[in-house]
Amino acid sequence: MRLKDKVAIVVGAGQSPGEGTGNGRATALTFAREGAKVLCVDRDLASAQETVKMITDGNGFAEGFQADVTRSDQLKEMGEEAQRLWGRIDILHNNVGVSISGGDAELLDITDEAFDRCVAINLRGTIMACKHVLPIMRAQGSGAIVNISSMAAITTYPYVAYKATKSAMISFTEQLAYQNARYGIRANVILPGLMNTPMAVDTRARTFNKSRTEVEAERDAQVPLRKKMGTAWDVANAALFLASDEANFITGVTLPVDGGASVRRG
Amino acid sequence: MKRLQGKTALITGASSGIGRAIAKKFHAEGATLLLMDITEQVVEGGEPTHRILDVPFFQGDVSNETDVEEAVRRATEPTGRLDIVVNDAVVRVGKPLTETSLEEWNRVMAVNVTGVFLMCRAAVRRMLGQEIRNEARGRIVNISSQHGMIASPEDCSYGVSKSAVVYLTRQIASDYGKDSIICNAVAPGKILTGKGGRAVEPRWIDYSHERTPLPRLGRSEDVANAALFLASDEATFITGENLMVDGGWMAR
Ligand SMILES: NC(=O)c1ccc[n+]([C@@H]2O[C@H](COP(=O)([O-])OP(=O)(O)OC[C@H]3O[C@@H](n4cnc5c(N)ncnc54)[C@H](O)[C@@H]3O)[C@@H](O)[C@H]2O)c1
Ligand SMILES: NC(=O)c1ccc[n+]([C@@H]2O[C@H](COP(=O)([O-])OP(=O)(O)OC[C@H]3O[C@@H](n4cnc5c(N)ncnc54)[C@H](O)[C@@H]3O)[C@@H](O)[C@H]2O)c1
Repeated sequence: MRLKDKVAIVVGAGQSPGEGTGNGRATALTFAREGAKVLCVDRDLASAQETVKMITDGNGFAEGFQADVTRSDQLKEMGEEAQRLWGRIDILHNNVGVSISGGDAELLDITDEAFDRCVAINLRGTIMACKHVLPIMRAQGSGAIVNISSMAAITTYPYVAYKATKSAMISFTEQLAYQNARYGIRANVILPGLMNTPMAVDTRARTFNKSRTEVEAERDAQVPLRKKMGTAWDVANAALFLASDEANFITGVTLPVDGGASVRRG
Repeated sequence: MKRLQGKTALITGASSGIGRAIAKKFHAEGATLLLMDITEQVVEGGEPTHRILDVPFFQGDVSNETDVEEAVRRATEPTGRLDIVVNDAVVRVGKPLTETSLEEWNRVMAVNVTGVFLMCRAAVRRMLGQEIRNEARGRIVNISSQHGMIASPEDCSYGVSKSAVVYLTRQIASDYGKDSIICNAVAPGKILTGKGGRAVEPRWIDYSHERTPLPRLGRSEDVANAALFLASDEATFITGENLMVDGGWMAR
């Protein structure tokens, strides 16, 4: 087991309504399968608890915790809870991110409220989760942070807040990496591409009044590798690698998991 | 289950350093191997890799077309497939532009660029004729470098050759993605492989520490772990990427 005896926090471990498995849930399940104890954190506690149940049904260790990433006090409690339960924090996985569901829009249509909401959730949420977990990792002299940005950061994307916040996450992760390397803490960022997840596919089907199959076909066609979207498990496997000791010399890295889509930019 | 069980892999530059560590790692994870190198001698010392692992070895030069074709043929013999190719073989000159002779330049390009081209071409031709398994027809892992992404101090030809490897990786990924061929690179930072010479001169070690945010420099095994990840079924939606294993070198 590749994460034996490790303690992980997955923020955004529940998932949006729809079919199949989301990135956050797949990552929590994968970490647990590899032996980690996982604190499944979500604003939607019921959804996080579903993830917990899937883990404990498979004889893994997990607990649920309710936190809204726009609330710094709750992120602080999240770190304290993991420590109270299991005495340390080896892995922090920041999965929460919204675009359409946060009211994101094209530049001429975006409102102050929607923009601020997306920034607070995607960017400030990640940064503040790190802020509250870092002291614990520094005291331990070790830790691995994995942030989930998006291929949208480096390729074309229509809506303004998602693009800007996901790009900022890359710079933030690099800073996090070089400023905390001396404490034995690593930080890396994954850019998922077009994935077949409830967040991406079902949300679009609902928003644009299309069938799931229609949305799937449109997205599949855009992927260079085998003309097929990826799955949440692809993201989870990359997160597992980066979070594990196998990646002990990897920090500050941006890893697209996008079926080659970003290779075509330009 | 082992992570490369049932897979056949060809590794160039497998006699020494990082290539040797990749061979050991892939062997431990259950791959059927063919090791290729211009010599069986271990730069950092020790028993030849193929002896330790008891796997076939083909002595050949990656810049020689016939040798490369032969290596691919032999690698494919035991199982009828070639699932993974790792291009690790390298030569270095260690000179700035004005001191590099044309012969030195040409040799670096022949091994580090043409060698990778020849091996990728032979491998992809072979892979295109085999079935898709676990979502991949075949995989290539090229070993690039942080040098070539940023300046390689006083080693002009090496830096240029390594940047070509990153580009070739993207080109193959983008042209053959539709055929389910996956092609990625791993870019090591400063890795202490155990070899001496220029690699461990105090000024380069000091420079590397100064550039590397993590408190330690790299080990061959760090690179082998990344190569394993990209060669395994865990990485089926990653292609065209250059994964840095550099202790944060490129992040600052
Ligand atoms: N699916 C894709 O195609 C795709 C592509 C690129 C990037 N991503 C990124 O992947 C991540 C999400 O993937 P997923 O499949 O797990 O999505 P998801 O929407 O299914 O799950 C995210 C979880 O975050 C929770 N959440 C939302 N706002 C929150 C808040 N303020 N505080 C706490 N929790 C909150 C939701 O309740 C949900 O359970 C996002 O960062 C997204 O940008 C996804
Ligand atoms: N060590 C580092 O710090 C470092 C840093 C960045 C990148 N890299 C890359 O990692 C790879 C391995 O580096 P290393 O330090 O282990 O090198 P090394 O010199 O220890 O090993 C290279 C191997 O390639 C073999 N080789 C040379 N010419 C060949 C040819 N024509 N045909 C077949 N084999 C040939 C050598 O015999 C040797 O076994 C290289 O691609 C290198 O560019 C290394």
